[in-house]
Amino acid sequence: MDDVSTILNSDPSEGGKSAEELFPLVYNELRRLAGARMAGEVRQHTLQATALVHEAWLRMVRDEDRSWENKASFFSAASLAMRRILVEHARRKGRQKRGGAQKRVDLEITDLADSEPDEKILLVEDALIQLEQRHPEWAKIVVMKYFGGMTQQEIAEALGIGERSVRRYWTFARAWLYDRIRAETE
Amino acid sequence: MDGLDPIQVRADEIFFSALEIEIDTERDAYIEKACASDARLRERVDRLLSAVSESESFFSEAAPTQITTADVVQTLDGLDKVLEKAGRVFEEEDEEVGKQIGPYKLLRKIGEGGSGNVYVAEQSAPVRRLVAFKIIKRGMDTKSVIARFESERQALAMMDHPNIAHVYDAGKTETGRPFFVMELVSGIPITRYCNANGLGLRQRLELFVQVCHAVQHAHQKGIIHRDIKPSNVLVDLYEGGARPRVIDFGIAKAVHKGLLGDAEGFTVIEPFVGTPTYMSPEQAQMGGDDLDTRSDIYSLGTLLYELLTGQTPFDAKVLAEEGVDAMRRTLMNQEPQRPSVRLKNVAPESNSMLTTKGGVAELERALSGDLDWIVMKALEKDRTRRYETVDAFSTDITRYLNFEPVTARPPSRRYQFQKMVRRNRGAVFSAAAVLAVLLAGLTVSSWLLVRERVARRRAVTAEQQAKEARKSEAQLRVEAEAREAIAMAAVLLNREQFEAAEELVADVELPVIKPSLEAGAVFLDLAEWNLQRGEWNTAAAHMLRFARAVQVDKSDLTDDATRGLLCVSPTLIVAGDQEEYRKFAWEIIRRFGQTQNPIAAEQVIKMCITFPCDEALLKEVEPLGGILRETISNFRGRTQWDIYIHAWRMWAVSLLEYRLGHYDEAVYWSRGNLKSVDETPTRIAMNHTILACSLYHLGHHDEALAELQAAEKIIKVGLPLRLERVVRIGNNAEGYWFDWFSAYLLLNEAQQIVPSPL
Repeated sequence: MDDVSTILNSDPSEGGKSAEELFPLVYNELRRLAGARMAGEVRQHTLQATALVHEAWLRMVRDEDRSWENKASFFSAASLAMRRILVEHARRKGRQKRGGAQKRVDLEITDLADSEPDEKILLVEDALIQLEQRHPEWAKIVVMKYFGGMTQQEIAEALGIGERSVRRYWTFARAWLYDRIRAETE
Repeated sequence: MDGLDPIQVRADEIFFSALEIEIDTERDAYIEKACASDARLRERVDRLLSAVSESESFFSEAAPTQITTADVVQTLDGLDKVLEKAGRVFEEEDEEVGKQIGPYKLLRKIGEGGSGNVYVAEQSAPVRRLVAFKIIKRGMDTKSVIARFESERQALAMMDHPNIAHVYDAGKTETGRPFFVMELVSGIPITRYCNANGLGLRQRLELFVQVCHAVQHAHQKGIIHRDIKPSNVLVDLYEGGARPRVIDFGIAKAVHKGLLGDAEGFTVIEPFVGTPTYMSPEQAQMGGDDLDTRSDIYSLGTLLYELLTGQTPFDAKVLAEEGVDAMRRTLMNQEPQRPSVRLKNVAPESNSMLTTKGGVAELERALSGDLDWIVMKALEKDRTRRYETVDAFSTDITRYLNFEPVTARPPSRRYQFQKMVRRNRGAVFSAAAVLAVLLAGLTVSSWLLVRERVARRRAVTAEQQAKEARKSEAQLRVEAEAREAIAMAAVLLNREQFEAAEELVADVELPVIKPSLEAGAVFLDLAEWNLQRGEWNTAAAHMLRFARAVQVDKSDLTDDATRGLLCVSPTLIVAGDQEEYRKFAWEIIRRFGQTQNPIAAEQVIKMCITFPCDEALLKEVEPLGGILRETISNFRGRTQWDIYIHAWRMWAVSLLEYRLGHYDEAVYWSRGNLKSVDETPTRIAMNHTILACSLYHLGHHDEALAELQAAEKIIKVGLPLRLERVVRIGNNAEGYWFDWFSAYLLLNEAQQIVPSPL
């Protein structure tokens, strides 16, 4: 368990930038990208959230004076940003829909699989906060995979661990979160 | 959340290990063994195992939201605010120098602050002039910021004060960021100015009083600053003298308000610009929903604190280092050190007054006493105990400068008071909100912390909203109007404009008066003024309002403010209002009848039975006599003050004995009392009246007559002299006016009992 966390908190002496360090840069890039799209005619154009990250990445690597250790570490930073964006977005939409200061997701979902995308995100977020307190390392994998849309391979590279470990952690974390969500919605 | 539930922790471990085992039978065996016979543990593990396959479809893909670009931009705007609070302010492209924004051309950057950058700009139309141009950082909802500014614009335009820098205009830049255009002030922050020029105590206070006048002017126009701090109080040189100028009026409100809670659809923490140490507790607590002028008074208090000591009352950095829980405790309970005490921990370079000849010791002497109490009164955590107006605050400082007595007093029983504050404030005071504020000024990069604070903030806001919703809006408005009227009256009274003050509060109904010591002071002043004019009934009405206003808390009658309650009974009796007197006395018994404090016991006796009362009330008062007897028998005092107090206690006992019909006892106590070396005329006269009545009841008619004449002699000379100027409560030596009234009324009573020889 330890190895995961030490790597994510990264060792700058080995040339790697931690997700935390990268975050502001990624964040600004996302903002610039979104702003540019706003200025164009694609205002209401719907996109898969993770596509935005990919696009941001492509723009950044074109920018020569930014040298990234690798794509994976960029993505792990972007995952943090995407998590914030998606959760905030889901909250706002939920609030608008209910017309009030709804704090929690409605817990009347009969079948979890049928839950609305926004509700789902909020359910995952609530459970993820709990997982972070218990097993922060595995929570990081959830952020990368679920919010950042990273592949197992990318996650393995970003964290410097084997793909098999990523799969195990993910299975564990996934079941753990689901158990939590199920308990909340029962 | 179940925290670190040991069963869950164990279940997680077993589950994780079980996933490693690929052969079903082996896995089952492992689980069986690991769980032993713990049924609850087994159930948890089984739940997790069953979730493995069920969760597969739930997490089959990445977060599924389809999101539009517009959504992303909006969301990022909201996140900016959150991130900024965590100290994660990202570099922004500056508005370039040389750029033209409307009629303004940016010339050079002169400042960079928490909320934005400030430029010198040249305005080309309608007038050509240099202005300060402040661009607010991204993350604000531009439309609401400007709308809020517009709503206050008229009031801002009405401000006309040499110590206030004008705000001319607001708008938005091409990129949609709000900006403000202000009068250009070329000064330096007041604290720096004072130290750089080695200003002494008097000069600092005089400068500060000017700042107060500016803020008071704004308050009279209905404008609260909300962000008073050294960097918003600049000092420049004008006609050869130092002139403080308060900048940014109207801006804090425009910028802050929209960032509250869910107002704009985002759950964010309002951005507290700059350091939280200048912010009033209610501002930290409620964020800005219910701020009034007293919030500025607190901030001014902090500023004065810093001018005097070189330090702010609380050190944000120190607090942050204490850890979350300790910080919460500190903020909930801790009163700042008095300025004179704080001095000992100040580095000399942060206060130029410390490097002068006397150094710490001399400044400490100068601060301790009046200045300490003035500052502490402005810094009261409970705003009802602060100065009601900036004017009252600055008047006190002026009094100090003129070597006159000030109104601020040491809270007599600080400990009890603090306890009371905590009790009254209850759960509403959210340390979490304060914590958020404190951290905002520091650099915190923990992602977790941001989320935690957002969650807490949400809880706080909901609680606050629920509380406010309980009060009807109409009621709130009436209360607010009453408070405004009273605050204005306080200003007028300080200028001795009694008629105008009276007119302002004439319509204030008793039930809408909120407890506040300053409101109490207003009504007491008005009551005294009316007494002087012989308007007994109006005076009595004000006395009742006063009595209501000072129901501030669990005061125990030992502090100066509630001592004014001694004025109520005599006034009501003079006005002939027996019924209100009876009600008042019962109210006093209800509130203070259980006291064990001799000071309070004496006051209750005087308030309740100086004039004839019913039997039931007398029974309630009787036990208080025991408390006084005990302190009297243990009397060891030597000072003039001790003897004075002792004599009044004896008087209270003889009064009680007389009302109880124990005439022998009354005679004993009164005679003893008359031997006191204390020469307070009122007390002596009242002892003669008690003696006259008691002796007459015991059949000693001649002696009774002699006592009556002794009382008459004192009262006939003293009372008219004293009545010439009721409007000062008086002092020990000349006798308080209410004691003179009591003596006069007791004399009337005695004259009914003891027949005059004529």
